[in-house]
Amino acid sequence: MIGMLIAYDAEYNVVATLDYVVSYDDTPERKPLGLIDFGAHEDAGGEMTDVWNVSGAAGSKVWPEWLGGQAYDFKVELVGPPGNKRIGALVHKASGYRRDRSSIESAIEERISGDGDLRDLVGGPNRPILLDETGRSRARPAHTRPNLPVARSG
Amino acid sequence: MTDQADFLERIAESLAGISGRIDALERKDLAAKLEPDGGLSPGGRLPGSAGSGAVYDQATLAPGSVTSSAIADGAIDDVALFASTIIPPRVVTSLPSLPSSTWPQGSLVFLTTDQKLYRNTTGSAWSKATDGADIVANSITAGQIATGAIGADEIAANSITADALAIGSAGSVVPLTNGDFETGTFTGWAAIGSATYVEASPTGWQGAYRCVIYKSSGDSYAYIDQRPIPVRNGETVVVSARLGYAGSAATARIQLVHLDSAGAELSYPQVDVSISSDQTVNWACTINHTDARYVALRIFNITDGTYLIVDDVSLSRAINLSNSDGTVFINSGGVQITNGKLTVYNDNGSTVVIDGTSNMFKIQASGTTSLSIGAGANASTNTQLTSLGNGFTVTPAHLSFLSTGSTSAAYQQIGELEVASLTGYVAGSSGGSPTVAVLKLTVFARVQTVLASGYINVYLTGSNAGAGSQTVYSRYHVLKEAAM
Repeated sequence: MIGMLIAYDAEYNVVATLDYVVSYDDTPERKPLGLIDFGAHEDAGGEMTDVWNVSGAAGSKVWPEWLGGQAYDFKVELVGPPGNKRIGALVHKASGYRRDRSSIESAIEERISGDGDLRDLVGGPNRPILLDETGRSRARPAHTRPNLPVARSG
Repeated sequence: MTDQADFLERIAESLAGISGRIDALERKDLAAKLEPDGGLSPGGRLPGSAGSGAVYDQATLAPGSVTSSAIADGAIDDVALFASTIIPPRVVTSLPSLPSSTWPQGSLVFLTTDQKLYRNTTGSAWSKATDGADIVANSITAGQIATGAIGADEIAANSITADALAIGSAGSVVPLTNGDFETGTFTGWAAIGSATYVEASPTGWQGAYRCVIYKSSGDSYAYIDQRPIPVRNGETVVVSARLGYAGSAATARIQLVHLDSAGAELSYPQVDVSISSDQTVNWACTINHTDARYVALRIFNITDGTYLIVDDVSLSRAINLSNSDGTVFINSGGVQITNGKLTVYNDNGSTVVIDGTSNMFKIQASGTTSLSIGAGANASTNTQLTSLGNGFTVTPAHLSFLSTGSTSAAYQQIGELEVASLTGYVAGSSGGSPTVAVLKLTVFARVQTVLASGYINVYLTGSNAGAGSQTVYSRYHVLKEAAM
C-alpha cells in the first residue's frame, strides 16, 4: 500500500509530508518504474531515511490517507513495539478527534473486496481527502459550472 | 419314293410350326429387334437360317434368362439404350454441348483433359464444383490448404484472440512453475548456494512463502534457476520479480541463459539491480541467438553476506506492434512514431500531450513542509529526497506554493512569500521630515531546490520581522526537468 509519509518532531507535531516519489531505473535516461510503495517498505522493516530526510524531524512513518497540508492540524500517535512502530492514529489538535488507522485500513480492505475505488476513502497524491474543522472527513462538494463545449479529437 | 416324301413332309411340318409361331409374335417388334429396317412381313421368313432354336416373344422370355454372355461386347453403346433413370458416366475428350437430348440433366462425363468428373446440373451446363456443405466436417487439414491462401478477408472480425497470437501480447504470460513459491518448496526451481531456501513470509509480505538467497563468501554462486522455458529468437520477454533484502542491501543479478534445442547454453544476457528497498523489478530481454529455443531464468544474489528476498517471479512476452509501413512501433524501448504524431487524451477527452509537446509536467516528487519562525528570527528546513538517489548533477526545477495557512482552502502563493505591513512615520517635531509610509516586509519565505552531494534537497527558508511567531507552509513539486 502506497500511502503518504508524515514526518513528526519530538512532540509528535507534523512537520512535513510526502505524497509520492517516482522510482526510476539506473539508465542515463532514468526511465520511470513506478511510484515508491512507502507502505511496503515500512512493512518490510525498511527505514524511511531510505526515502527522505527531514531536518528537525524525530521520525517519519506511513499514513494510509493523503491529507496534504491538513496533516499539520494533527499530532501523531505511534503504536507498536520499539523498532517497529507505526502511526496508529492522528489526533486533531483542536477537537481531539482521532483518525484511527485500523478503522481506515478495515474500510480499505472492505472496499478492495468490492468495487475497489478508494478515492473517497484515502484521496490520492496531490488530491487529499477533505476534512472539516474538527478533522473529520467531509464529502467533496458538487460543482456547478456553465455548460461550455469541450474540445474533442477528430 | 417313300423316304423322300417323308423327308419333305417333315420339313413342311417344321416350317408350318415356325410360321405359326412367327404369326404369334408381333412382327413389327421382331423386325425391329432383328432387322434395323424392319423386314419381317407377316407370314414372312426369318432372315438367315432358322436354325433349330426356338424364337420367343419378349413376353415369353423367362425373367433372368438373358445373361451377360448373351450380350456381345460393346453391344450397349448408347446412353439411350438405358432406361431414362439410368445415366452411366462416359469418358469424353471435350465437354459435349448443352442442352442436348443425348446428355439430359444428370448426365455424367469424365473429361480426360483435366481428369475431373463433370455433371449436367441443370440440363444446360456442366459442373465439377463441390458444395462446401458436402465436405465432411473436420476433414480439411493444414496440409490441404495452400500456403498464403488464407488472407485477412477470410478471417472473421474479432475472431482472433490474444492467446492465439504468435506475437507477444501485453500480459501474455510464459508459464513458470511455482514462480511465487507458494508451494513452500523449490518445485520447478534449482537452488544453488549454501543457504538458499524458502521461508514463510512475515506479516505484511504478500503471499504465504518467499525465497531467500543468502550469498556466503564461500559460495561461488548463490542463485535459483528454472529451465527450460520456450522462447523464439527475436522476441522480447520481460522478467518481473519482487525483490527485497533482509539485513544489508543486496544486489540481484537476473540472467536469461539462451539455450538451444538440446538445452546447451549459448549466451548469458543479464542485468544487475541494487536492492536497497523492496521493489518490483522488470527487465526486458530480447532473445538474440539464432539457435535459441529455450531460456533458463536465473536470479542471483551477488553480494557476499547478504540476504536477497525473491518472490512473485513471472515472465511475459512484450508486445512488438508495427503497422504496415513500420511507422509505429512499440517495443521494450517504448513507442516510436515516424512521420506521425502522438496525441494523449485524459478521461474527459482533453489533450494532455500532442505532437511532442506537453502540457503536463513530469513530477519526480511532491510533498509539503512547514516552518515555524520565531519573532525577529530566521529559520530554514530541508527535505532531502534520498530515494531519488545521489547521481544528480543538474538542479531540477520545481513548482512551489507558500502560505501562512495549512488548510485545503488556504491561499497559496507561488514563488516567494512576502507578508508586508505598512508603517508610517510622523515627524517628531515641527519642521521635521514629512510623513513617510514605509512598506516593511514582516515575513519572508522562499522554496528552493538545491543539490547537495548529488542529492536533491528542498529548502524552505524564512525570515520573520514580526512581533510574534509565524508558521509558513509550502507545497512543492520537484520536476524532472532542469531548472536552468
